[in-house]
This record gives sequence, structure tokens and C-alpha cells, in this order.
Amino acid sequence: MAVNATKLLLQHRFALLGFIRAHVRHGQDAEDVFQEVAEIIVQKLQAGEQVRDFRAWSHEIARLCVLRYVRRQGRAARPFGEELTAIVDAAYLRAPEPATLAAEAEALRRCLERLPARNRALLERRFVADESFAQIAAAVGATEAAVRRAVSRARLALSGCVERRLGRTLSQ
Amino acid sequence: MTTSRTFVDDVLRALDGEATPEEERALARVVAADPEASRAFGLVLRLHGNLGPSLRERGTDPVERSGLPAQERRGRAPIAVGMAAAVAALACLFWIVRRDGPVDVAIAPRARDAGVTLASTQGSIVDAGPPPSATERSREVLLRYDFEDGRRQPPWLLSPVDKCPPRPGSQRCLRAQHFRPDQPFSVGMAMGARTIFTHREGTRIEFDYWLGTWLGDHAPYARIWIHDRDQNAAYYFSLPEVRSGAWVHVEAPLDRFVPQHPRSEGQRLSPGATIDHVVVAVDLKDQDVFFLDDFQVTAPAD
Repeated sequence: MAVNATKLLLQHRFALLGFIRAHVRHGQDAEDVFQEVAEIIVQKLQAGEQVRDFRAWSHEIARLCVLRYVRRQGRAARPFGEELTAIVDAAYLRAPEPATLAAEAEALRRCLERLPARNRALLERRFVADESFAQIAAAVGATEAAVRRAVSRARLALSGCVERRLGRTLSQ
Repeated sequence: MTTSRTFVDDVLRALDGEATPEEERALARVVAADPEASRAFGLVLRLHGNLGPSLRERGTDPVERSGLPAQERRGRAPIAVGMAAAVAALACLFWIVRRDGPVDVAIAPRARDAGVTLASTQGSIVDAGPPPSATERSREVLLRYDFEDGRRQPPWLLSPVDKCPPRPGSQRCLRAQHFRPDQPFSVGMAMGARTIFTHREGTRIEFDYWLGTWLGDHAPYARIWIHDRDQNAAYYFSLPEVRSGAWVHVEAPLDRFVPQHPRSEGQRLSPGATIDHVVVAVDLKDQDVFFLDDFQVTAPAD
């Protein structure tokens, strides 16, 4: 039976993006790398490649594409050390099953809806427009340190919200 | 106990590249030794990776707000395959993609094959490509703008006409500008009821561009976006590479454009599609400049 490549990608997209974005510090670049990975996965599956362990197989594809991106970027890529690379790998390889990933994606969506507009605007500047802290600071008339703190607080609040939605506890 | 705010903060700092090597190693040791830390690390990693796409989806797709993932409801894949992606994919995974395999995206191994040639530098022709074939000579120009009259000509509504870097026979062209702070710099045509052109087999978009000094910390990218009013669908074409400091000629066949949100595998523009929106988007920084000239849409003559 033909493997539904689209379905597999949808099921694992949340985890794949997490893995790729960890290594690719620029948001738009990360999405481009994801597209490369997605295209290869679709092509291979449509070509009839037999895949026993999709997670391990897609990890190898993503790892090679990330590696190539890092080489292309040179020093600007600032790759992780060996130890952190290993736990990022493990985080993808041991990511939850698709149903849990879908719940995480839904929780993130819900929590973003509840995020105060000011925090959301900050996160959009940082993670959609890929602006540096200095650029955001100049735009909003604050110090860079204040912007860093505000973005950090917003992300912590978001993580806490997602944890609560998933029924886990985040100790204060 | 490990999913404390401090732990999450440490993970975020590491993901942002702000942790020292010692801090990275310490974090890795904690995660490796504690299953709960490992679980929390994975979750924060995934949230970090999906924050930008989720924010963007919220901002651009009102259907998304009803709760369920839009892709699932519409049965569409979350992938968009561009030329840049295709070329890069081929290069980075040559052992995976067989050129003679059943691929559904045309892959151009060289920039010229994908329709990009270095047109001129400092006013002199450097590489205009091979002479046109008989087929090429028989193309019909559906529309053409050279911007030489110095005015913003309909239906170009989004970008100003300005003096541009020197080249033979051309003084003025379109200058890119920010439409929205969260969008790349763009030059574009109108979006709305007006029809810019109707797609037919073999149609392609052509133009020359000039990118000023690139100060970004990553390779620049450029995409041509079009909007099919009939399907209410956006398609794009990623330039295989973006060069700076020279006029570069681009030819983008419409059958190479891929849907932003595919509704079916292999979805492409259909002949007869009404194109009411053309935007060339480049991720410039404030110090950079991008000019576009001699825009035309051509198709094989009947």
C-alpha cells in the first residue's frame, strides 16, 4: 500500500520544525530547510522507498540538510556543541506520538490566542520578522536588555500556558 | 522538579545561542540524566521551532482561528516546494534524489537552467545567455513595463519608480520598499479585482533585478508571488540564488510556481487562471536596496 506522504508529514511536522529550528537560528531559513526536507521525504516516499521507522529515517534526512545549511553559513551558523546536539537529536527521535504532537500544536495555538497583544507583537517581531533585539529595541523605544527580558517573559508564559493545557505542571 | 522556569529559561537561552559552551554542557547533562527534563526539553524545543510558523498562521489565515489545524481540514500539505529548495535538496542529498526518479518537481542543477542569467554589470553585458531559439523568438509579450516615463504606471501600485543603477538604455525602475514591518521588502503589482494577465501554457514572468550591498548574515532569498483569483490561491517561485551588485535577468515559468498551501499533490496553475497579484519579495535589511526593471509576461505565440 502506498504511504501517504502528506499525512506522515502533517503528523511529524511539529517535531521536525522543532528539530530544524534548534539548529537553524534564523526563522525563515529554518522554514526553508524544512521545505527541503519535506520535499525529499515526499519524493522518496512517492518513489516507493520502504521506510520502517519514519522518525529515524526523517531524522537522517533533516540532519543532512541542516548540516549542509550549517556549512553554507560558516561561522554565522553557530552550531551547538556535541552534547547539546546529542540531546536535540534525542528530543526528535524520542518525540511523542502524532496524537500528542497534535495536542501540543493545538495548545500552542490556543495559548497564542490568549497572549496579550503587546507580548504577541514582540514575539512576532522576533520570530516572524526575525528582527534582532537591537532592532526591536530601536523600534519600540526601549533598551535592548528590556526587550530581551520582555521576550523571555513572554516565551516563559507561553511555555507555562502550553504545559498547563497539556495537563502538566510548571513549578513557579 | 526540572520543569522550573529556570530550566525552561536555560533551554531557551541555549536554543537562542546565548549559552556558553559550559552552560550547554551542563544543560545536556541534566537532560540526559533526568527523564522529566528530557521531556520538558523536547517540548520547549518544539514550541521554539513552531512559534514563528504558528504566529504567522494566526496573522494571515483567519480559518486557522477556529481551532483545528487548517491543513487537516482542507486536506492540504504544509509544504511548499520552491526552486531554491529543489536545488538545495538535490545538492545536499544527492544520494537520496535520483535525477531519473519519479520526481514531480523540475530540478534545475544550474542557475541558468532555472532561468537566471547575469545580464550586465556596471552597464556592460557580461552573460546574456545563449542566443534565442526559434521557439523563444516566437513568444508573445502579454504585458511589459520599463518604467522609463518616471511615473508609477498602472497596474503597478505598490512600489515607487526611481532612478536605478546604470545600465544601457534604462534610467528608471521600481524600487523595493517595506509594505509591512513583518514582511520582506517587496515590489509588486496590484492585488484586487483587476486582472493583470491570464495564464496560458508556457507563460513566464521575466524581469531584471539589481540588489545593492548585502549586509544580512545569511544568504538573501527572493520569491515571486502570484495570486490566482479563480482558485483564491497563492503560488510562488523561489529564485535559485540571489546575486548582488549586478543586474540579473530572471525568467520564471509559471508551471514551476508551486502553491503556498497545496490542496492536492502536484497542484499547479491551470491554463485560464486569472492572475491579479504579482509581488517580488526579497528579505532585505534597511541598508540594502533592490531594484526591478523591464518586467514582462510572455507566452508562446499562438
